[in-house]
Amino acid sequence: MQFFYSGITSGSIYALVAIGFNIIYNTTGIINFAQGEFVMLGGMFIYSMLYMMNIPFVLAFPVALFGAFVLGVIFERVFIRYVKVKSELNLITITIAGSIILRGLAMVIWGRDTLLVESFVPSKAINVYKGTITTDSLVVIGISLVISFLLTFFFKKTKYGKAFRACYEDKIAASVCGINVKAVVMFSFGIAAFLGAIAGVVVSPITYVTYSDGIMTGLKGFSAAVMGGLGSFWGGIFGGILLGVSESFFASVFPSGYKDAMAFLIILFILFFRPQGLFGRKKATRV
Amino acid sequence: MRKLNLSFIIFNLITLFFISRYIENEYYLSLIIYIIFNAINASCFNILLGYAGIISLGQAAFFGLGAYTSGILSATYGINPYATIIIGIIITAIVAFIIGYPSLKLHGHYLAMATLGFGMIVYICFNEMDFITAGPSGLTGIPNISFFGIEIGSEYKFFIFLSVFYMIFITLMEFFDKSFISYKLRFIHESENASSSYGINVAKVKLTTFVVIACVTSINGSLFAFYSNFISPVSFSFKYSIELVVMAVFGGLGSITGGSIGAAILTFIPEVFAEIEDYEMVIYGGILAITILFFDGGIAKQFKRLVEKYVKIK
Amino acid sequence: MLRLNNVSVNFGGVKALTDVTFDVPAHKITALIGPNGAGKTTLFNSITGFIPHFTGEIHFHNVKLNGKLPHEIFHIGISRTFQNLNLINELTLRENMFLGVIGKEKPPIFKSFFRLNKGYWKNVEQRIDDMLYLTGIKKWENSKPGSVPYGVLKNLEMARALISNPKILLLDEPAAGLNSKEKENLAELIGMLNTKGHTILMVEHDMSFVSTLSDYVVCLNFGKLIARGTFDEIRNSPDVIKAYLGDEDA
Repeated sequence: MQFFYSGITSGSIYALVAIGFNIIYNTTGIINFAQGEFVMLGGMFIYSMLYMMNIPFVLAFPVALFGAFVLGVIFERVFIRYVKVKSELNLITITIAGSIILRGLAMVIWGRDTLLVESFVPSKAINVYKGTITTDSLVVIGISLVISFLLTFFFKKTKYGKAFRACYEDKIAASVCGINVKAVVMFSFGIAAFLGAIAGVVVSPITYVTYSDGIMTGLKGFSAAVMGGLGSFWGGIFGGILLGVSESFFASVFPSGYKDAMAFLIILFILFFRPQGLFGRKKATRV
Repeated sequence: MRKLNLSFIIFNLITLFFISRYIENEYYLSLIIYIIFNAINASCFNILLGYAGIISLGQAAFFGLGAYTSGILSATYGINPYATIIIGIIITAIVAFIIGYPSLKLHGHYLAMATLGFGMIVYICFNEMDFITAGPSGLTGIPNISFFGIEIGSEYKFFIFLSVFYMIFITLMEFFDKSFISYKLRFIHESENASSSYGINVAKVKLTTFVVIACVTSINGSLFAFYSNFISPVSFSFKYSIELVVMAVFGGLGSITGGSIGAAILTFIPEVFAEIEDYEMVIYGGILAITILFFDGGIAKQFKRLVEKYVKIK
Repeated sequence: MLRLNNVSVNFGGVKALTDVTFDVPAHKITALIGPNGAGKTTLFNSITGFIPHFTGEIHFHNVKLNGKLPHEIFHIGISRTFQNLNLINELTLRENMFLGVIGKEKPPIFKSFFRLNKGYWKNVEQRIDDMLYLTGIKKWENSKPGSVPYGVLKNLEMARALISNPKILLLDEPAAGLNSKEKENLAELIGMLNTKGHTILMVEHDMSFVSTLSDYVVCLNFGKLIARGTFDEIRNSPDVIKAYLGDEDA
């Protein structure tokens, strides 16, 4: 059962990243390849504030998230808004460009070494059914799931959430209905970055932070999003946890070095056989 | 059938000739050799993305497959280098077919992520299968390749050898660009529906292109192994795939010159300004972003525009 | 020639087409009309293989089209145009014409690559020339699609579809986006093709265009065939009047 607990821990991180992907996808139709970088930056921010500026965690946490939010907004303003030919390939390439820049800057600022972050709560292993679970993991699971549910609720039920969705369906119609499309797109990048940073902060005591973490996290978050059906929030949560659990199951069976390869094999299989996600329905394509 | 435009081929020929005559410094020669390797890889990527619209973020994996097949077979089992290149092609073709068959049904983001994931898996395998690949520390003892009995050992000899390969490659690129095959790929890029209703078997054409390009990349990888006599997984990571993207986009997608121009500039700059090494990634990203934002079509297109303007005035 | 028998298409519970049955006679121009959302494009897509899951049967010269892929259907002799033009902007109009040839004839790859079959390509160039003259766009042959009037591009699209010598030509809203002069030219061209014996099935909204050209008219509404016959018969059909006027009331 131990793999199950560690799987849920990493899975809830993937879920957060997946929701970040979904938010941007739902408002713009873009897959943001830099999503994983925001997770890394969240960890970097909290590290800097805790150990370089000695700011207490209670203050550092919201500041880190706010910083990521602002960065996400800037990211949209700089990279996405001014793409002249908004073809899918151009948008893919520009977010890739953004992600390398963020990663490169992180390397320049924080160096190539792995940075250690201590637990935010007293570290303890709790015995549960046929295994143990650490308090750090509980924090990760708790915060991720609460945030995921809150956001899902926000996007599904509130007026503002619906405005976000409307933008993807039809930008012109949305703006006719009085929705400020540009602001919504900008905000969606901000919120996605914010979410990434939450994931980055809560997971930092478990995995520590390295500048190059973003690719892996981003890819797995994307896998989770695709598993659950791109654009679906509940799917993202479920896909994240499913991916986390199956990944750590494989890690307990095969040599652990192949753990990441297994995650990608899963994503390849999903993409090949059910690109609409495990629960999604096939969309009719226009010719 | 369009006329061949030999100017780029001749330009390359002259450049390589002058390099062979006047550059003796081993460091510069090795730099130029790297440029040629990158130029071929970036041009291959360019054919996929610029012509056929297939975004493949796993090109480093095919490069690595060629390199590791040749490296392992020649270093560990002592098989003739040319035989290993052919085995490398066969293995790469099979892998590219298995990956390409399902993933080329996908488009855009999905295809990008699928090829990226594939690249990661291969990279992880290079690292983890240390019983044959020697793991992260790298595979040593790869012999030199010979050419009609002459061992290609020194930088200079390898430069000549690779130049020949490169010239053949560039010439084939030109033939490709002017043949109906490039029209076919562009048509598929423009609209898969339209091209299929004009009788083109889109799935087959895309898969064939993907496999052939993977094989060329694999040959290039094999040569790389025989050049450096040592390979480690780092050379075939995700980062290298992205560097190829930057080179091709910056040089100019959809042109035969783009890959080479991009590779030349982007391989040269970080080497010359060694002090900016830490900023390499930022610079690469910045160049990529600026190209997309302001210079759609890359350097090749800007250059062409300039020439057209000049010619008009004259 | 082309026979549709009880063709129905379902999109996740929405009935896009219901039991559509009609014939497209050879050497005639048949127009497919109907209000927006009537299922005209769906019908086109079913015929040309883009909607493989339709029920009923579509026959072309006794060849059953069910389950065939778009490129296979093309090789049977059915050629179609799209509402958007799908031209390649980097290539000249003349070079764009090649796209009509290469899918049909599958030129030998190796020989063409190394330019060993110059005779074959000369012949292709000749046919392209003929087709450019026929459609009246020869003088634009070396321009790129971005720099010529829209009407010329429409003609190019027709020329490209014709060069493969299709047995039947399916035109998806050929007159859309054209000014009246361009429409006249296009009508002239289509009329001329008809006198040369081409069979044409077209979706068109412009009624004057339909009335001058078509030998037969088929009218769809809400996925159902509501009338067919000559244009005059259709014009007086109460169902058709209701479909169009009722649509405008709402």
